[in-house]
Amino acid sequence: MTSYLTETTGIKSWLLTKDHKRIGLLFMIATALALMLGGVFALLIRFELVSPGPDFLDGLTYNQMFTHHGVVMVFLFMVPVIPTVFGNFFLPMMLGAPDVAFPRLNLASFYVYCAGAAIVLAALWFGGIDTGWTFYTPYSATSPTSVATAAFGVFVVGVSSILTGLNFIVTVHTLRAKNLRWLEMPLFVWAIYATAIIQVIATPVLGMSLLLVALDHAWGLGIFDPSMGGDPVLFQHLFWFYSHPAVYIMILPAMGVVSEVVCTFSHNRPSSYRAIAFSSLGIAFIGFLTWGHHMFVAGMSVVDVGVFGILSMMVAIFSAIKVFTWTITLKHGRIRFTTPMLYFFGFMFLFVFGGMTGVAVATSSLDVHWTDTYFVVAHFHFIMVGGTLTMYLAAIHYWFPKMFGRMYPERWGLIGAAGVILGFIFTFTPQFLLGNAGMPRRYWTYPPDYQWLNVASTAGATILALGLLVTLGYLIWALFKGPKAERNPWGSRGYEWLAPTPPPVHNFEAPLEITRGPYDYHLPET
Amino acid sequence: MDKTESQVMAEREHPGSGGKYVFALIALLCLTALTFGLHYVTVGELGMIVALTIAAVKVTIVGLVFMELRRSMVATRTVAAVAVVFVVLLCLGVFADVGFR
Amino acid sequence: MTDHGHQGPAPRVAIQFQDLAKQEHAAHFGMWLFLGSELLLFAGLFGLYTAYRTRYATAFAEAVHHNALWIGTTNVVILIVSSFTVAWAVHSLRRDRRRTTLWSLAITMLLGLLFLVFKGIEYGIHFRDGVFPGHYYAYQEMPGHGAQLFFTLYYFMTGLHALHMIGGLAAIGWVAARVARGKTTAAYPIPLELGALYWHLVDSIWIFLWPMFYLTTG
Repeated sequence: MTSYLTETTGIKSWLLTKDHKRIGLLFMIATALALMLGGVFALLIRFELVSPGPDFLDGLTYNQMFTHHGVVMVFLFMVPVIPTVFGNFFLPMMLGAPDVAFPRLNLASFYVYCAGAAIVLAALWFGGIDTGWTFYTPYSATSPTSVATAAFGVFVVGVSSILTGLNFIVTVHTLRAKNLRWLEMPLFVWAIYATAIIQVIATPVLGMSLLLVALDHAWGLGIFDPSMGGDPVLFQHLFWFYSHPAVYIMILPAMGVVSEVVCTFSHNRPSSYRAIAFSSLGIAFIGFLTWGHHMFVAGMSVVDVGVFGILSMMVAIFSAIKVFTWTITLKHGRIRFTTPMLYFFGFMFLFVFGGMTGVAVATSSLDVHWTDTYFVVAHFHFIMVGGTLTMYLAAIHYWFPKMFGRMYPERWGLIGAAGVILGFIFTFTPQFLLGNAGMPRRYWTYPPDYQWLNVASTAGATILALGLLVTLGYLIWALFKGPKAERNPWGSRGYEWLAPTPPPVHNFEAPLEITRGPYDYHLPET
Repeated sequence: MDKTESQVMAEREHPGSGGKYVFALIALLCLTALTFGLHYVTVGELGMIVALTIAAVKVTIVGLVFMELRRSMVATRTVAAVAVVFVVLLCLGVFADVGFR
Repeated sequence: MTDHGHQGPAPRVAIQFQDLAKQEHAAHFGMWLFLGSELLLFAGLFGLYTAYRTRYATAFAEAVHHNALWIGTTNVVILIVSSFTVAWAVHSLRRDRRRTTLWSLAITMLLGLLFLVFKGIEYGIHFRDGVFPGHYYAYQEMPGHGAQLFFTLYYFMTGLHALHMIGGLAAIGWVAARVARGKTTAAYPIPLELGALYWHLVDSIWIFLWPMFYLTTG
């Protein structure tokens, strides 16, 4: 029997594919490369910071390292990864559909991503950028680095994101199998749907803000230039109007993975389906009302500081609803400790901790002390790495058998997970202490008193890197030598597991008949 | 109750009279003339608010009649409404800053 | 499957859609999502206008005086009429009146071109006076920052709008060619309907730009 992997062969059948599953794999390779590149920049930062004075990087190069790390990680990995890889692969299958609504647009969004990434990488290679991934004016207008090219490259990647979001929204609205109602869809679909809404609404505003910066840098448009009467803080309003919701683009899909992993490995339905489904929409909506909390000390009016502070706390309510729902789901289930589950436990601890520090920095009077220090850096890495990266890894392991027809080695999976989670904790916990003690972010050198915490953080980063490399190693091995997987090795009730392993080109052998819910663990599987 | 896709398609295939487009055109041109006339008599920021309000009415007519939102599904109308809401949100957030410093 | 009773080949339903109605809805819905994203692209600029008008209220009001009211007003009338003609084209195609459709589309495109011609004339007047965007601003009569920012925003917003007009003209032209060749018909008018939706958005944006940049108040 042929599968989507073997039905057609040759490089053209992959590069010109309209099969959402192959497009998902193309994105998987591209985003994995971005993760590795971003990781290299991170290690360069951490090794430079091992000693208080200059080591092997000069100041300008150091500024480029943290900028490149941020730009590559945020725009080329974190924002696209779970939707373009697992959203592409599994959204249609979870709806019982043979593909997404617009398969050619799907392929186009991959090539637009590649074009944007190429432009960004060209900017990083020729001249670099040193403004921070946030491109703040007025410095971004005058920096001697390749700001205009990089900003334009990110703009193009943003177009890809909008196209993906658009495709997924239409898919959910129009391709659900007969009988599959909204409140019966798998929760991963709700997560991807809420994410897609943010992508379509928010990304164009980023596009505009970066376009204005690019034109200012290249041609002196000067719309944020104080020498022209312009207001640099307005750039921040436009930038964060996207970039705050962007963090929800980064975390919501990971939360969608959590719902799938928790239910499968506790062999239980979610304790409240609606709580999880609607809180996804809640996060998407409230996430748009909070952008000013990145600007508490930028010179905004007191009115905005107050309003954004309060609204920022409200978004935590929806995350808390999810965390409690998942916990109660576990309580009434039969838990199996597999690699995805281990990543989930890491997620729970790290996301909750990171989320609480988010409420802390949302308190504007406290944020005055912590803003622009390592405290904030630690906060967002706890969410982005501790939250999204762990569940990205969980998703790879959870869906590995379905995607590739093989099993990964469970023992190595646990070792890799331990390395990643422990490495992460040792990298970023010291950074909370550093920030609270006053060490600013994006600083190349520091007073000697801060050294031991920096050394601890770098040691942790090394462990984290090793954990990821080990994971990459055994996954590649498993692709070729892993034991063949059965159709549903986890006994999940998810609809994607009804398809053959690996799936045929149009996902199901016959149009899927939905006769039960995706979490009906009280019923037999078929 | 929301329409089904088949109902929307059937309505599009039986277009009825084009009178509604003519009425919409006349209404838009009248509102344009009204805005033009009003701008000679209104003063300051109130004048701008009046002009922008009439503009919003005009765009609503374009949306409902020319763009056929009146007979679209709820999902389509929601997309239009949500986009407008977020434009307003961004302008409000910026105004709450610049206007109160 | 509905019996269309129209001329033209029966449209093909792609495998991912259960029926033609869902496919057509997907096309329209997808187009609306795209239009939503386009509106949000302009959102940042409306935000900047709000901010700078608040800060430089007097300078903005004065600078509006310089813009040629007759050009801006003519252009808003042109676009409103062109929205009518493109809607009439859709209406005609649905009733299988191919010639009326083509005439309506031709007039739409002509009006669009006329809009751009007036815009070009207007920019020419500005250049002659030294009104340029950003750091190139050199208008002696209004040297202040407020006016400079007004005109920078004016150029950027009307320029971006003009780019969208050009895109709209290309789209309408492409659809008109399809109608002429009998590829887009009463049986499957979707490409024309989608092109028309885009055109209406471009018109709608100008309906807002007109009071913002041409109507002086007080």
